[in-house]
Formats: sequence, structure tokens, C-alpha cells
Amino acid sequence: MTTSLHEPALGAATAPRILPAPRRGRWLGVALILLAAAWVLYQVRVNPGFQWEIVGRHMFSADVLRGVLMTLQLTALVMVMGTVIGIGVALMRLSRDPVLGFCAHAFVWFFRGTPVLVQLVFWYNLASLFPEISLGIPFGGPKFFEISSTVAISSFTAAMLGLGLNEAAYMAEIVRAGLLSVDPGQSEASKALGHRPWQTFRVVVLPQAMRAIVPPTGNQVIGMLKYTSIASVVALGELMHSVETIYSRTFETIPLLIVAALWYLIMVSILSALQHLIERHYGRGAADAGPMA
Amino acid sequence: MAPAAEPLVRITDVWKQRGRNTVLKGVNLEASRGQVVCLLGPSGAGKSTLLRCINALEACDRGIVFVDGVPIGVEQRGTAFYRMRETALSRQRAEIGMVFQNFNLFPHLSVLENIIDAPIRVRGESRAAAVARARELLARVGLAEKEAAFPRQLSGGQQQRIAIARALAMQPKLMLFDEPTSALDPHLVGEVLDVIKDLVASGMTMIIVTHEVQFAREVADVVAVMVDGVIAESGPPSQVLARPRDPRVQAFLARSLREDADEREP
Repeated sequence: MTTSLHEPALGAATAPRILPAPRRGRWLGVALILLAAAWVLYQVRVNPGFQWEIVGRHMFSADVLRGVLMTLQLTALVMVMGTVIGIGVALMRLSRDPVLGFCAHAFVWFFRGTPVLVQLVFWYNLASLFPEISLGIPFGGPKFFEISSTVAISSFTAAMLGLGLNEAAYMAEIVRAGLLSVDPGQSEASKALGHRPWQTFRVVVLPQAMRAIVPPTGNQVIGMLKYTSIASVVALGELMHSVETIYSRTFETIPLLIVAALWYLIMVSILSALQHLIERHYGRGAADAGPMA
Repeated sequence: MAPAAEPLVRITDVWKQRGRNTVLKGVNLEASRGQVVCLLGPSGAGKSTLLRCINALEACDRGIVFVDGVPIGVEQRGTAFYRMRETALSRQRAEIGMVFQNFNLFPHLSVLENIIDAPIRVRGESRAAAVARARELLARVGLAEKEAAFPRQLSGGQQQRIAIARALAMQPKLMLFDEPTSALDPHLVGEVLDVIKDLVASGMTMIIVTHEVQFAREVADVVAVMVDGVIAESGPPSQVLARPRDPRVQAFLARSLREDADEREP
């Protein structure tokens, strides 16, 4: 007798029914997690050290909001700078030109090989090495333009340069990996259709490389958002510097760290959601992209 | 315009080295307007490399490929020849259609976008005109209802038919096929060969690298058999395929006939 796959499986069937494997350990795990969560909640409610009313007072204070804004600005500018330079360096490195390739390699080697903190402080103290920055003929020729380094390099420009150049080195490697992940047949087909080199890159290769570039870049953006806190060493008023300034005055260390942590969590959550949307956009036409128009 | 006597494609003494291996050793070949040339030969003989030299996807080391009397991929300055810059090359490639073994459709673009992109971006056509011709071509390859699909949703045979339509959308004066059916399941080969036969009937000049000896016999005006970097024998299929003179060509044909028989009765 034949049975259809769509026929209800129960009824007359005498074959033994297979049950999922017993997982008694899981219930124990759930119990332990609930217990730990309850203890944390209890502490958060009861421990006076958290000082929630102080958290509430500072969460939206002008100083903290200024810090949040500065953190966002710096992250955005550093990532734009890092991505633009990074794409350029990746293209140089992938080009067949040995001179460009060498320059790109040297750039990545240097800026990835030295600590960000050192680069940051170095830019900030550029004035002690070059008291003024000028444009002109080198080796003692005439100068067309001159500016004092202490004026040109503010905390913000030092942070931009230090973080941005370091980020560019990492982005160059991420972009290079993405471009390498695209089948070479794609650019051949594009060339064969008469696309110019820039069109081949823009229309065919980059959109496909983005699928491999976006996830690690999201990682970089989120990392950078928090990493901008290192700019507090050159006295830039980003979020971390703002809360440090407040608690060094009021000694409300824990509640202000909580304020900073909450703000970072909020910003990271928004960025993660954005990343998800961008990934969906570049997943167009992929095998796992689900139903399409 | 070149004089009428000039063949559309003229390959003169082309050499190509890859590493220590000399892939092409002085190849000469011509294709007149409207002719179909099939390149046969054992794998590794240099067929695909020769084809890729015709639209300068690969640069040859010596010798010149002329299409319509114009040297492809090189510029003459004085007595020396220099490789052309990519931007100038792209203008020449726009006139030469190419179909690849692995289709190479753009997976992030819909079928319609795959076909209209180059006519719009390279030729500067209006979107409306490009779409109209794309639909005509899709109907011609029997896939009119697939314009909104993405390449990965299609079978290999369908993808290759789209790839042919994409190349034709540029209204090329020459079509190159690089083993167009080698990546296909046996039951999908027929539909692609039918599209190519339809193109033969329309009078398109074509150079086809293939393993399908039977197909070459049917459609080719000229069959050229490559062995070890040179063209061992070329001429009408009735001569080259039926009564080959070169012992290497005889050996190759005997082997591929045996393989075809094996495929039919495993």
C-alpha cells in the first residue's frame, strides 16, 4: 500500500514515534540564569551606590549631550575619512602598478603597525616637530602659505588625523578583501560590454563587493564609536571626556559611567539597525535573499 | 571603413606567453563578414586564449588582431606598437560581443538591467530605446517573461540565453563565444545551441570555441583545429572534420568521437 506524504501521519501508523532528546540540563541552566538576573535586578534596585537619580539628572544634561554630539560627529568624520582613503588605498594595492602598490602597502604597514594612542598624541604635538606648516618649494625655497601648527592642529584635527588614518589602514584591508571576493569573470564580462574601468568598478564590482564589505565595516563603525573615547587624552570634549570632567568635580563616578554606557548602548543599537538595513539592500539578487519582485 | 576585400577579423602571427609556457605560437586566422568560425581542439591548446586576444581581454605579446581593419588593443607610434589604455580599449570592446563559459551575468542586477546597462551607459541610448530592444531580444531567446528575475533564479541554460541577449543588445559587429555550453547540464545544451543557430541564420559574424564537434559541423563555414598553440588545420567542415590531413587533428577527432559515443552510452 502506498501512502501520500500529505496524509496525516498519525492514525493507523504503528511505527515508533521519535521524540526530541531529553534536555534536563537546560532547565537547570534557565533556573541559574533567572537567579543571576534576579540578583542583578535586586542590586540595581537596592544598592544605593548606583545613585539612579544622579544618572537621571545627568542623562540629558547639556554637557553630556554636547559630548554625545561630539562623539557622533567625530565617528562620522573619521569613518568617512577612513572609508574614502581606504577605498583609494585598496584600489592602489590591487592595481598592477608596482609603484602604487608599494605606496599602499607602506601606508597600511605604518598606520596599522603603530598604536592609535601614539598617532593621536603625535599629531597633537606636531608643533614641537614642525612649529609651522607651510606650502612652498621644499629645501628652503619660497613659501606661498604658512600657518602655525598650534593653530592648525586642534584637539579635533589631531583626533581626526590620528583615528582617521588608522581607520583608513583597516578599511583598506576590508575593502581589498571585499573586492577580491568578487569573481574575476564579473569584471571581464563588464569590460567585454565596453564599460570603462570606472564603470566596471562602480556598476559591477563594488556593489557585489559591498556584501562582503558591509558586515566588517559595521563592526568598525561600532568599534570606532567607542574608540573615539581615546580622544579624551587630547582633551577633546567627546562623551567620555564630558562625563570624566563631571565626575572629577562631583565624585559621582559610578552614575556618570552608567550615563556614558547607556548612551553608547543607545547609539550602537541604532547603528546595528542601520547595518541590518544596508545589508538587506546589498543582498539583492543573492541566493539567500528570499522572494523578490 | 576597410575595403570590402578585408575580412572582418584578421589575426596575424599572434604569440602569447604565460609564465614559462608559450600558449600561442604564431596563430593566423581570418573570418569574413557573416562567416561562422568554430575553433576546436584539445583542452590547453590555446583556443580560449586566442579568443580573449580578439577583444584584448588578454594582451598578446607579438602579432596583431585586426577587427574591421583596425588593430585591437594596440597603438602604433612610429615603428613601435604600444598597448592601449583601458579607456580607449573599452570603445573597441563595445563593438565586439562576448559570451562566456560561466555566463557571468551580473547577479545583483535583474535580467532587464543586465541587458540595458551597457546600451545606456556605454552607448548613451535612452532608457526607453534600450528597454524596447531588450524586450525584443528576450523574446528572441524565448525568455520574455523573465525580465524581472534575477540570474540566480534561472537555470544555466536560461542564464546563457540571457548572456547572449546582453551581448547582442550592444549591436556588435562580431560575436565571440567561449565554450558557451561547457558549463551546462547535458539536457540544457540544446536550448543554447538553438539560440546560436538562430543567430547564424541572421548573418552575424561569429567565432565560437566549442567542444561540440557535431554542432561545428552543422553551423561552421570554417573549422579551425588548434593543437599546442598553433592552428593545425583549418577549412570547411566537410574537409577538416571528414578528411583531416594533419595526424594531430585526426587523433583529436578520433578521441572526441569516442568520448561522444561514451556519453551517449555510458
